[in-house]
Amino acid sequence: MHIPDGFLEPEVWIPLTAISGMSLVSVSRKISDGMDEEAIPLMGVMAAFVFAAQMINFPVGGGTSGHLMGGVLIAAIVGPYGGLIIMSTILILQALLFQDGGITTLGANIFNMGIVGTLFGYLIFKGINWLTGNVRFSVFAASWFSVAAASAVTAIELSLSGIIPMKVSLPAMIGVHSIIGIGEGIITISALELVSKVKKETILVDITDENRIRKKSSWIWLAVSIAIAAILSPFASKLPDGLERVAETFGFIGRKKLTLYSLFRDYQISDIYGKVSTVIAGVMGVLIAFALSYTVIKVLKGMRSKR
Amino acid sequence: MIDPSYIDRYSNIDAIYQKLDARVKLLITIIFIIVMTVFVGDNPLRIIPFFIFIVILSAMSKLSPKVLFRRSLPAFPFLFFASLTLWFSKGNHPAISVFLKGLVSVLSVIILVSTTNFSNLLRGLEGLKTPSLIVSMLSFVYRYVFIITDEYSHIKIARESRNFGGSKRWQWKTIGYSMGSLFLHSYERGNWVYSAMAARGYNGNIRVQKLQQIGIGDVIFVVISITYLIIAVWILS
Repeated sequence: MHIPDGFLEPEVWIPLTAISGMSLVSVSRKISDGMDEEAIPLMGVMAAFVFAAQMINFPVGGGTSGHLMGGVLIAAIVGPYGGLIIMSTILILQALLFQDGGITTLGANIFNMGIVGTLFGYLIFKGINWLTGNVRFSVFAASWFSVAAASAVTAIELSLSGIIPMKVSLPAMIGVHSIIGIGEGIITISALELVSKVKKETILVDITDENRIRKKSSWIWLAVSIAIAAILSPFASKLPDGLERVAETFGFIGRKKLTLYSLFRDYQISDIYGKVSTVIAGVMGVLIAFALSYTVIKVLKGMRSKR
Repeated sequence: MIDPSYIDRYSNIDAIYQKLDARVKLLITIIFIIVMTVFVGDNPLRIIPFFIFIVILSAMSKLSPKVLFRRSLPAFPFLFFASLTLWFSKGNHPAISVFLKGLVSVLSVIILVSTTNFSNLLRGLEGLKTPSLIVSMLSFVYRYVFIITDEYSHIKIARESRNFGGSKRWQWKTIGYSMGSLFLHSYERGNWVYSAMAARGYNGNIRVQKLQQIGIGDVIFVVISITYLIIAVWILS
């Protein structure tokens, strides 16, 4: 998933570098302020741990193997901000020493795997956990999402730069990575399970925490919305989008690059693979919606309590 | 898994490029890659002036083409795969030019990294205003990644010798457990490292030697490379 130099157009990598750079600076300031001296060596060794963990292959099937991204794993251990710092450290080191990912594309890679894969993955975990109260399931869903979403933004960036058309890259990347994501989910759960059993105090998210009251109704809501998204998304994407229609009429659809509606424009292709990926995209949308609603409610609650 | 001597093996050769300041090398490498990826475009022939620049740098650093080639091998699969898809969708020229752009930037990073020893490189990053938290994290990863991959190979041997196999789900679960125990090992090691550092007077700041002043050689190098790049861009456009 590491994009090398030369594959992204400046219109794509400059904004992404700005976003990643700014969030990295603000997050590292935020962490440094509230951190005791003990934490730096520990985080450093944790980063080495994730680096090593990323080199471990697991069988995916069909003779191929995937490897762990570890975004949700590290966020569940040291928290989302520490996770972002650790992930970025690893990406910088991979770009410099192991020619895994480029220099101009470093910002994009940090965006894909650090911001989307780790920060946003953790947000998904929080959202689903808040809704269902089941830590195990939320960890699994968030891990799966982090891999699928990181691959989706990678594919989008590549096609915005005119490398691979969206209708090829998006189904191919999401298709492969939604299988790798299942492996990521199971490995993340069992790694956290072992650590929670042996040394609970070392991690943030205790996976064996079963004391919460399960909200049965919200489980049903989640299941229903994922099912609806999965069933409806293939049909929905076939209907011409309003904005697209307008654009076609006025003839500026020819300029494909960097227009927002082209991001999700008819990427379904006729074969099964394409349909599967549309369904997956729908499921991802539901997960994002839950994470966002969690954030909105948290923010609103915070505003109320401040008053 | 990784050979610890891999990174710094060529950084102490007596050559001009090795003696330049890390900040200067880092800055020129970044500028070079940006200018190249922006101005080469779809015509593969336009890469020639940038390739000459790389050849000059490698001559200045006395790195043999063989070493450069061997170190750039890990980047080939992705470069190849992506340019192949580009070849199907857009044809010869864009595909070759993307492949060459990727390759030349990989080569320039390899020259930078193999001629600068890692602690100088980190100080260079610090000089270019990288957050100090990230710089100290990088130095820790560099020190401990070899030990931790070694640790994992022990876990792996133990796992394999107990007939690791069976269904995929079971395999994933077992790999998860191995990662959990790798985490516990690393965590313990992190605590030891902290105690050892605290015993030696660590109080949250990592003290490092100051980088040398930018010398006259560094200035000349910057001026010549920037002029070269400007002329290259001027010729291309």
